[in-house]
Amino acid sequence: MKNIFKSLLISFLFVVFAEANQGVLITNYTDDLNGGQTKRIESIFLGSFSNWSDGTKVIVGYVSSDQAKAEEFFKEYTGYTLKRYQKYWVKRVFSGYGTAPKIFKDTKEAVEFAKSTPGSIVYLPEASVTMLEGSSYLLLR
Amino acid sequence: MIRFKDSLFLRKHSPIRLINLTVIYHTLTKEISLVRKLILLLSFASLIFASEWYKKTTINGYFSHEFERLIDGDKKKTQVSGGGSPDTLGSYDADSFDLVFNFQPTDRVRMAMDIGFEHGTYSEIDKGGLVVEYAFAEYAISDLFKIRAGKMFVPFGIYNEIHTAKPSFVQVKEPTPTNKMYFISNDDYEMIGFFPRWGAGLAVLGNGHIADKPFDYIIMTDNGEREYDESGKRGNEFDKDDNEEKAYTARIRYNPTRDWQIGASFRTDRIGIYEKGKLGDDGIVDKSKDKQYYATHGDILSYGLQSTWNITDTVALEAEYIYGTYKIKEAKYTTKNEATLGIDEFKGQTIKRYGYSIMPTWLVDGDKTTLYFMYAEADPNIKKSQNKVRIYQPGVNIELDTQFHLKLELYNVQTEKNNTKWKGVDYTEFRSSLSFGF
Repeated sequence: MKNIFKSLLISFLFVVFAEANQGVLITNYTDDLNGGQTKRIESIFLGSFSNWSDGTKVIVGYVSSDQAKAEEFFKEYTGYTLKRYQKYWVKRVFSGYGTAPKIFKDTKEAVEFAKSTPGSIVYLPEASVTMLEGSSYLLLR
Repeated sequence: MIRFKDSLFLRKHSPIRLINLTVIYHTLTKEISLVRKLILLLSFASLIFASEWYKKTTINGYFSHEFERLIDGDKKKTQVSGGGSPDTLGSYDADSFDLVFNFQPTDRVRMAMDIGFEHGTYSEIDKGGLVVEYAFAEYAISDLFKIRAGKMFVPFGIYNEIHTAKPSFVQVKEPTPTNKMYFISNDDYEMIGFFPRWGAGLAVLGNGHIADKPFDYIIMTDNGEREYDESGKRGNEFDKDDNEEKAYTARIRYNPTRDWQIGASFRTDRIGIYEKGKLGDDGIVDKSKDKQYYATHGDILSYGLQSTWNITDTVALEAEYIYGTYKIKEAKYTTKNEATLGIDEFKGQTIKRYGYSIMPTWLVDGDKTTLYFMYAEADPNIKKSQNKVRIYQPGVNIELDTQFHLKLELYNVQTEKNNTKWKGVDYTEFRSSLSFGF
């Protein structure tokens, strides 16, 4: 019975969490995000902000499963549609200007990557509280 | 491992021999045990190393397969020397398969390499080609200041740095009027490009904000292009220069708005050519008349402007314009050594030329199909009348799967009568390609 209540509570939190924001940026460098300032997030996701304040290389990733939400995020924070964002990186990678963001189909896999990869920042369209437990993250509103 | 104890060989031999063999067996067992431990240790270490190496390495790549056929135009007259002729038979071209490696050994050092296998590479019988498009090391001091060393694409305009990566642009091939002057003219001087494909040297690059809007820049110095010498050999400019003058390229791109990027490029280079012949009053060497040496060098200056504009989420426009001069200086010498030193300026001429391309694109059918129409034009020598080449290029690009494109286009070329390559011959070619990026 206790477990059922716990599950219901988590589900409730998950839904609230998912509905109340534009997604989550999971990273150990939340202080470097200037409070979620659009310009900084744009620079990170366009590959023009390459090292965190302690010198660690920035490694970018995002979850593509919720295409509508990802579309919204990229339009808001980079000015590109998701398609144009991918084209932007195709050109950048093949012309020798860096490595493309890692694309995850699954939120769990993305969170595990973020937790185990130094310097990473991963965009999640949604995530449960339990999933983010022990991680630093920034809610995008 | 050989098991000596159970070996028939041991059982069939005398006790003395057996004692000796037992000693050998113990020694060998000890040695093998050590070797085994060493192998295990190395394997373990290499596994750790491999996993670390793997984490710091990214492999991408691209592929392109083409089919082209002349569909309108004179089959004989369109076959010109020096490349660029349409395919009268209709041929498949295993255009390229490239692998792009990025190694990140430290937080600030990146090594990048693009290695391409072109036209079905088969070196034993000299078919196709294996090419290192770029191979460089980059050190990031800050976002505004990074240093690169190695072989790089010359960072000029929109297309040169992506010209081999067909999935990264809409049409089948990059526009020739700005990128392949040797497809526009056959004249020795006019056919020299506004810039070469690659350069070996150093570059500084970076990005930042001006008036709160993002920009990026790159400044590169390299050996410059090397031309053919009198023996018909072409030196390796990625290894050794043929003059003291270094080439310089610079490009800046700025985004006044999120949807609009403008850019400007610049290139200067000195190309040396050493040849035998008689120098005419027109400043051109007639190789059939004399055996004196002439040192010829040309100073290239090219200026480029570019713009990419995402007008709406589905409509975009990209355009590039390049103007350049090629100032040829020729000097007369009696020995090749003097010519190589290149002392006195004797005669000269300056070629002024331009090329541009403009292409609207329209994403229809959700996000899979792009319609495009490219118009491109070049005048390889503005002083000469009736010398231009114009290209009309309508097409469709269908993304069959993620980064997997089918491109179909008509490539209509219209030329003027004084053009040294095409001599007023017009033609239309059907072009298609399958390209994939990963």
